[in-house]
Amino acid sequence: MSSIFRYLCITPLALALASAPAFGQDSRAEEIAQLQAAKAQRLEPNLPTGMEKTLEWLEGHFTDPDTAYLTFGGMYPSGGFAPGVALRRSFGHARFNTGVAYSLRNYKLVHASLGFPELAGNRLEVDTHVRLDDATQVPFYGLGNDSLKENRVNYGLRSLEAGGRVAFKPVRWFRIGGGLTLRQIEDRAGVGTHPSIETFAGSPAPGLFEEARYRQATAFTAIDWRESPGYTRRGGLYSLALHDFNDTDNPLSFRRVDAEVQQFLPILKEHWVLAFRGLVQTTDVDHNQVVPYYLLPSLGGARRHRGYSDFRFQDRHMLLVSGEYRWIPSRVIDMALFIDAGKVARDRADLDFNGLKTAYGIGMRIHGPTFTPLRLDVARGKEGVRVHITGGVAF
Amino acid sequence: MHIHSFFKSAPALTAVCLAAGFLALSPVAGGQKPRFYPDDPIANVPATQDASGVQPKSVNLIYDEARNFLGNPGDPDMYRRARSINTIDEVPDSSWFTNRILGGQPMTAEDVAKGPDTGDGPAPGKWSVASGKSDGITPGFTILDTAGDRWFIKFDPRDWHEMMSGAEVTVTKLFHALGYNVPENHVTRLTRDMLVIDDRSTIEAADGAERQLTERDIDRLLRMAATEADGSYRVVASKAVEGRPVGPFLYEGTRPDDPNDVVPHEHRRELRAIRVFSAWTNHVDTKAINSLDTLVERDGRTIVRHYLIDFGSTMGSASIKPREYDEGYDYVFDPRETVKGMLSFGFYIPRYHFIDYPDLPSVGHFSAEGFDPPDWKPRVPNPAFRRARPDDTFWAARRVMAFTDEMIRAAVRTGRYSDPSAEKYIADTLIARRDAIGRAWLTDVNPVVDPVLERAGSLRFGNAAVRAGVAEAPASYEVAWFSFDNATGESKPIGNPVAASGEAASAPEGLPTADGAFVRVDIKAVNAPHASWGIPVTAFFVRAGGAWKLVGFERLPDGGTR
Repeated sequence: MSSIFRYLCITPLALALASAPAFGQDSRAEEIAQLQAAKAQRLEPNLPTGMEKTLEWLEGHFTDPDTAYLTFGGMYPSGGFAPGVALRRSFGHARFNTGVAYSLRNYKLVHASLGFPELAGNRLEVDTHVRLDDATQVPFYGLGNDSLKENRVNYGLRSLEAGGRVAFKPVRWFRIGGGLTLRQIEDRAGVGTHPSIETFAGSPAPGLFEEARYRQATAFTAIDWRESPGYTRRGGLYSLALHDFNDTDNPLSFRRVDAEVQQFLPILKEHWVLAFRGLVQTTDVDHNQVVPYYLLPSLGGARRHRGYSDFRFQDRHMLLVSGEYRWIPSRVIDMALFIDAGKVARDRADLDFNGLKTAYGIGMRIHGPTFTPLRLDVARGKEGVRVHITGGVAF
Repeated sequence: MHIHSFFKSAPALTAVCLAAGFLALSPVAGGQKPRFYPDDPIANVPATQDASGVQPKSVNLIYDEARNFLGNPGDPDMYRRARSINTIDEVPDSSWFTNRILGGQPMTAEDVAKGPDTGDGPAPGKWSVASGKSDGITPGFTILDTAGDRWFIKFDPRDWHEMMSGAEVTVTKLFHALGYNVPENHVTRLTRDMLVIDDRSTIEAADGAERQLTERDIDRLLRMAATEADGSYRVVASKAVEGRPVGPFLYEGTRPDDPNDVVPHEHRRELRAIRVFSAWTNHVDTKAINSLDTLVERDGRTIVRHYLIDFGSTMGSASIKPREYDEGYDYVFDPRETVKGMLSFGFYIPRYHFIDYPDLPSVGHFSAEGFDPPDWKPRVPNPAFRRARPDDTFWAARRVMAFTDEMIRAAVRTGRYSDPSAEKYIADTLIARRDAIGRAWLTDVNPVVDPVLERAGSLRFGNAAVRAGVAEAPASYEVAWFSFDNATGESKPIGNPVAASGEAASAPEGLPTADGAFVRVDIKAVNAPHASWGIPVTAFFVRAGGAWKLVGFERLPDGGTR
């Protein structure tokens, strides 16, 4: 029945209660009793609708600590749309998660992790993981800030890693820790619409087709007083991470330093937010060693310079600065005008503000109090307009 | 949703509908159609049927909010008169509501401060922790006290000491005085050594996983809470309400498994009126899941009792932090405002961004500045609020205006604010918002109230807006008299309408004097400060034992019959 008809029906029921005595009663109380008795004859179970059941299922899917669920993303960069399935379970303090994903570009991911996120009164986090990535058409444009888009070639990459990480959090806003990861990486010829990497016309890619077996040690620390990593309007992040990639078989050992600063300044009771980020990655090698091309710092992508595609610029050192003017038209939608500027350099001394690759754009983000499930950024750089539809914050 | 399932069986249903329509709308046998029964106006709505078959049913928050954002659940007629009222335009006592602030017994400030309390909080001694919970920011416990009573323990956010707890307890007292069933909430003290656990104690982690609760968990949860100078913790202890919980009620439709629930909730005046009470107290979180139905025993049968719960997101508090600046001014998502904001590149600045708040952590973001009651909004559209008419908001505003300054200050004192300036600010703000509500909603409809027809035929009445000091008295009133036939509903004028310079008038010659006779009196203002006052209210009196008894009263904003 249409909703109008339903109400044409129920209205007289209620109307009778309010003002118009009905036949067969001598008092208002009797009249109400009769209405209630009539309803008692046609009671129905109070059941959820199909839509409510579906939403319950979806909510459980996202929040139940013991469930199978669908995933989107998490694939090696440049993989494209990547649906997957995963399973998570909790055992006391332990959290287990495993899953597989497959992208439209034939990238594959298999992963599993076992974490202990709230040890020592929530002051200690321990995570272990294994992960297998199989990427088929990762782009490579050559090295340097002046590499040409037209020179793009593709390569394939298979990476198997297993590792652990410990973080100590004496207070909510500070963390320090370290980790160890064993990683085996094998690159190969690429597929797709672009030529394979072995046909690359420029200087050969360092470490090409040399299998790497890394023991990667990491130390990190961070001051993080953002409201949440997934969404914030105030606070800041100041982080530093040191990585030592030690290859025991081939001359591919190197060290990398990642330093990042993020600052969020609310204005006029958070009607506007000015957001800034500076990110530097710099590598260091010993004599006769090289940083393999697939692990070089890179610019490009939804989080690494929105005006360019994934891995568009690569070299030994990288600098990226971003600024956003955000305005808040609704509690669940933020808008932003942004600018990204960055460069890569062979020598650390060249990591300055000359010759930056810049792009500007506009974005819309749908978010909750602590998460950003959907971000749409449209950026214009010197190589055209790029549209990023993704989840998570830009920074 | 309830209405859907209520009317799922189409053939049987059609018959029921037709029968109900017949009963309500058609003349009864012999052409008789009495307007008023001998027991009108009823003071209590009986619950005559056993509701022990009602089963627990949760409400999915996303589903409920999506329906209210994207649709308009409930009666398509948005201007229907409230259905839970009696014949004198009042809400009778029921399992939903009890007349307190304007009930038969005058309330005192002490009554308001006492609220639903049956004691001073959890019984002295150890608290046995049944479960613990953390949303990642503030902790919570469910405990059993030494008397065996179950209490829910909540803490203030660490940087906003006393904000949530003060708001929760203060507003609980106000809503109780307004007439609602609410839990017994106390601000009390907790020390670490009071908490004991056993093998059955569990904890729900931030990601929802449940496991055995440990002493270490308790220490961790307590570290998230603000401590007092003596090392104790200030908490809200909320007593489990009477009866077996069966889930929240919706603000539209009826519960299909409750035989006594026969009035669609969106047409309950006591639910529509929460719009006004929420505007007063800035209770923006009026979603279904902040209500609770329980099965209780009354008069030898099981009935459903309806509670409002969780007042932590009221006044300046959003429970875990101060409220967002737009709360109370905009829905969480308002398409028109959002598009304006998006297209303006941030240069469309809503007025709430210019409101100043005091630098008082226990207050949060609460102010009377810029408070425009009709423009006030909860986080999510509410089906009952959407259908509130001027006669509903007037009814509610009278109750708000019935709170004296002393009553409000007494309620705020139960919030136990340690900072006297915070307590004063909150009380002053509630008083200022109360007055704004009076100005907005007592004047929006003809405010004539309390008509009394003396034995000798003199009529007295009041003007709620003038009494409250929120409007000037009109130049005069016009009173029209009618004889009224209760069987047919017909009215016949008795003389011509007469002017009354004050809030009294004499009956014309020819007023009936026989017992059982009915008269109707229409009263409207002349040259009033508000045009709506020119629409008459209608009172019905019946002669009984030589005196006149008020049996009917209508305040119809459009002057029609709806």
